[in-house]
Amino acid sequence: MTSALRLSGLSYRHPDSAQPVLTDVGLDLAEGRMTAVVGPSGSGKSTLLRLVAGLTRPDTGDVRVGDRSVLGLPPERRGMTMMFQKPHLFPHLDVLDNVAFAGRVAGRPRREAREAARRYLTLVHLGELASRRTRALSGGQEQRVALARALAAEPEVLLLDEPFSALDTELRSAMHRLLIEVRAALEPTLLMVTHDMAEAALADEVAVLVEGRLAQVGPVEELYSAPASVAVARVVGGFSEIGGVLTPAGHVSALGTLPCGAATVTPAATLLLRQETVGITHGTDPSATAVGTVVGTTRVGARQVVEVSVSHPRLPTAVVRAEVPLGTATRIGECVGLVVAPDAWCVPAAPAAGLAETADG
Amino acid sequence: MPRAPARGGARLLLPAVVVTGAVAGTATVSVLMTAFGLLPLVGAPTPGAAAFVALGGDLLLGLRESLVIATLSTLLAAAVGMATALLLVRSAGVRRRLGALTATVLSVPHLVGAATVGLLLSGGGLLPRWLGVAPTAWPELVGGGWPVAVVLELAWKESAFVALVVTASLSRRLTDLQEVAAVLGADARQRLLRVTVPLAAPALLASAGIAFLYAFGSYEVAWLLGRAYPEPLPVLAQRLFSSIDLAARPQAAAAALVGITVALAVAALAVPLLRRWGVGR
Amino acid sequence: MSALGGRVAVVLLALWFALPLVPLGLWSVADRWPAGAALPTQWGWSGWQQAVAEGGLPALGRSAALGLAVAALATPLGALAGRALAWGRSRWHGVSAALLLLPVALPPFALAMGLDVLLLRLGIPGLVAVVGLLVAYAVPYTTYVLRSAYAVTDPQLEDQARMLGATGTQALRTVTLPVLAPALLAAAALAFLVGWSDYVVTVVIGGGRLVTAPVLVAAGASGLGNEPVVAVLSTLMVVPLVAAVLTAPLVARSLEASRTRR
Repeated sequence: MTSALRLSGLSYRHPDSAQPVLTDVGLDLAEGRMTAVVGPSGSGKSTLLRLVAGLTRPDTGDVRVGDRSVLGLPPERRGMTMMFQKPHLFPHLDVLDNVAFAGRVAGRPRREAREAARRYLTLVHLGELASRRTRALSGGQEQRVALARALAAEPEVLLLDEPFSALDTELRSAMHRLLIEVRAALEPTLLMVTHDMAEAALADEVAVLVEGRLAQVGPVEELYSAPASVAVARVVGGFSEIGGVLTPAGHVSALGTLPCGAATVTPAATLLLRQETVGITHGTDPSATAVGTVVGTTRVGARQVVEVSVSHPRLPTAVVRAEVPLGTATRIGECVGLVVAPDAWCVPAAPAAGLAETADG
Repeated sequence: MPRAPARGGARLLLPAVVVTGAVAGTATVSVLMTAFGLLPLVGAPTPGAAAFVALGGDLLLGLRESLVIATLSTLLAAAVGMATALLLVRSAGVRRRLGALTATVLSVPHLVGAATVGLLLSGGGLLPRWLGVAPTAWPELVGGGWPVAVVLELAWKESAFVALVVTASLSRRLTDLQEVAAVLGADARQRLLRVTVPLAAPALLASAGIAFLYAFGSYEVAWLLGRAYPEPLPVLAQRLFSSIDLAARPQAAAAALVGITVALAVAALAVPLLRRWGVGR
Repeated sequence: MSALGGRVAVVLLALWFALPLVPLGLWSVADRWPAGAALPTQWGWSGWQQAVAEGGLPALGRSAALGLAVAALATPLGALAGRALAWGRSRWHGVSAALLLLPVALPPFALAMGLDVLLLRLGIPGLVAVVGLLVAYAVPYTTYVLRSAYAVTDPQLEDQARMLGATGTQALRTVTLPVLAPALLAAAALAFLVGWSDYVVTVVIGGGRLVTAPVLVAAGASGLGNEPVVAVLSTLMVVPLVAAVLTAPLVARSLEASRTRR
C-alpha cells in the first residue's frame, strides 16, 4: 500500500506566542484510508490541517503527497482540498456552479465541469437542488454541497476540519452515513479533525493530539483497550484512573493487586478501567474485587454511571466509575461490591504522562 | 400585563415613511404643478407645456451635459474606488494608511471639494504652479470647453465612497472564501477574478448607482467648476429659479421635473438589476 | 500583482486622494502668493482674520446647528425604521423600504425648488422646510446603517433581558441601545454631515437668507482673489470632520475597552 500523505516533524509556533502549537508531528496516511485526529480544544488540531493544506507555513517539517514534497507549493497546487466547519459556499454562484468551481479553475469547459459537478451533487443526494441559490439551503444541505464541492475537486487527499460539528445530532449522523457511502463509492484518502470520539470511530485509524504532540496513533479499538497514557485516556473518555504501583504480581492499589497488561515498566503506574467493564454487586458478595461506597450517580441515556469510592488504610483512596443498566438500585452512601474484568491496563502515572511510545501497529 | 417592545411592526416604520413621503411627495407635486403652469407665483394658472417649449434645446443640452458628467465621473469613481478597495482588503498596513485618507475625503463637503479642486486645477492653481506651466499655457480644465474639473471633483469624492462601501462588503467573508477557493485549486489571479470581483460586484454596482444619481443631481460642483454653456440641468434650473423674471420659474420647474424623471427612471432601471445581483441581503 | 506594482498603486491612489486637499493647507496660511510662484512668498494669518471679519464663526455655528438638528431628527427615525425592517415582517415592509431609499434618487435642487414654491402659500417658515428636506435626505443613510446594525443583533438579546426581569423600556435602554451605540453614533454622524455640508437646499429655499459656512465658501469661491479666506473657511469645515474620522476608531476602541472592563 502506498502512502498518499506523509507528514514528518511538523512544528509550528504562533509568531506572538512562546508556547508551540504543534511539536514534531509525524503521520502517514495510506491511500484510500481515513485517519481522524482527535484532541481537546486548543490541542492544535485545526492548525495541523492548515499546515497540511498550505494555508499556514510550518516552522519545521515536511508534507509529502505521494512521492513529492508540497511544502514549497501554494494551497491550490498541493492536490488537496479542505472542508471547513462552516460550509463557506460562494454566495455569487448557484449550487451547481459551487460544485463546479474546482473544475472551472482547473481550466475545464463550463459544460464539462457542470456535468461532473452534477454527478457529485447526486452522490450527496442533492441532484434536484442544482440550480438553487445558496441562501435557499438549510444548514445540512449547505454542508452536503460543501462536501460535493470538495469531492468534485478530485483531490489526492481530502482534509475535513470538524465539518459536521455545527450540525444537530440527527443531521450529523446523516452526514456520517453519507461519508460512509462516499468512502465506499470513491475511496478518497481522508484526514479529519474532530473532538468527537463517535465521529473519529468512522476512521480506520485515529491519532490523538495532546498539547501539540501526537500521543498515540492506532485503530480506534486500541485507544479504548490500550491507551498509551493518562492524557490519551482522558481524550477518549470513560476511564477511571486508579493510582498505584506496578509489581511483578500486578498493579497494587486500594482495589488490591490486579494482574494487568501495561504500556509502562515504571513502578508508579495508573490503572485505567473502562467504566463499561466494571460491574456492581452487593457489598457482601465474595466474588467482588473490592468493596466501596457509592458517592455519585449520573444517568446517561438508558445507562447510569455509578461512582464508587474505595478506601484503604495505607494506600490512597480510589474512585471507580461503573456503567450499569438504569434501575440498578444504588443510593449515595450505599456499600457495594465492584467486579473488575481481569484484563486491566496500566500506564505511567499521570504527571509523567507526556510522550509514551505510540502503540500503533 | 406589560407590553413587549414592538419587534418590528409596520408601526415603527410610520414616522420615517411619513416624514420622507410628506417632504418628497409635496415637493415633487409642487414641481410638477409649477412646471405645467398650475402654480404661478402671481396671477391665474395657465395650464400647459409652455415652459418646456420655451426652454427647448437648452433643456436637451442640459440633460445631455448632466448625463455626460454623471456617466464619466461614475465610471472613473468606480474604477478608482474598486482598485482602492482591492488594495485595502489585501493588507492591514494599506488599510491603516489609505483607509484614513479615503474616510477623510468622504467627509469633505462637495462644495469644499469643488473649491479646492478649483485651487488645484485652474490656470492659477497649484498644479500648473508646481509643474512650472504658465497659466496661459495651462489647459482650461476649470470652466473650459469640457467639464474636466467637474468630472474629476465628483470622481474624487465618489471614489472614496465606492472604496468604503466595497471594502465593507468584502471584509466580512473574503478571507474564508479566498482560502476555500485556494484549497479548491484557484490561483491568485483566479481568486481575484472568480471570487473577489464577483463578491464585490453587488456593492460596486450599488455604490456606483448612488454615485451616478448624486452626480446627476449635483448643483454646486458644476456651478463652481463648469463651463457657462451648456449648463447641466441643476445649474440651468437654479439660474432660472433665482432670476428676477418671475416667468422663468415654470421653466426652472420644467428643468427640475426632467431631472426628477430621469433620476427616477435610472433608479427604476438599476434596482431590479441590483436585486438580481443579490444586493440588499 | 507584484509587490512593487502594489506599492506603486498605493502611492498613486494616496496622491489621488490627498493632492486635492493640499491647496487648502497652503492658501490658508498664505498672505501673498503671486501667479507662477510654487509656494506662497509671504506666510501669515490674514485669511483667518478676514474669515472672522466676514462672519465665518457664526456661519460655522449655523452649519453645526443645522447638522445637529438633522442628526437629532433623522437618527431616531432611522432607528425605528431600521428596527422594523431588520426584525419585523409585514406587507408594508417592501414598499416602505423603497420609499425610504427614494430620496437618494431625487435631485436635491429639484425638491428644494418644489418646497420653496409652497412656502408662502402654506405659511411654513423657510428654516423648517430646510431642516425637513435635509432630514428626508438623511433618513436613507440612518435607516440603512441602523438596519444593518439591527440585522446583526439577535432579537433574543432583548427577550433575554425581559426574562431576567427587565421591563420593555429597561431592556431597550440597558441592552439594545448600548449594543447599538456605535451604529447610532455612525448614523448620527452621517446625518450631521448632510446638514453640515448642505449648500443647494439652503440657497434655494428662502433665497439663501440662512448664511451657513458653505454659503460663505461658495460666495468666496465664485469670485476672484478670495483664495485665502475660501481656504480658511474650507479648512474649518473639513478639520472637525477629519478629526472625528481619525479619532472614531480610537473612541470606539476605548468604549469597547471600558465595556469589557466593567
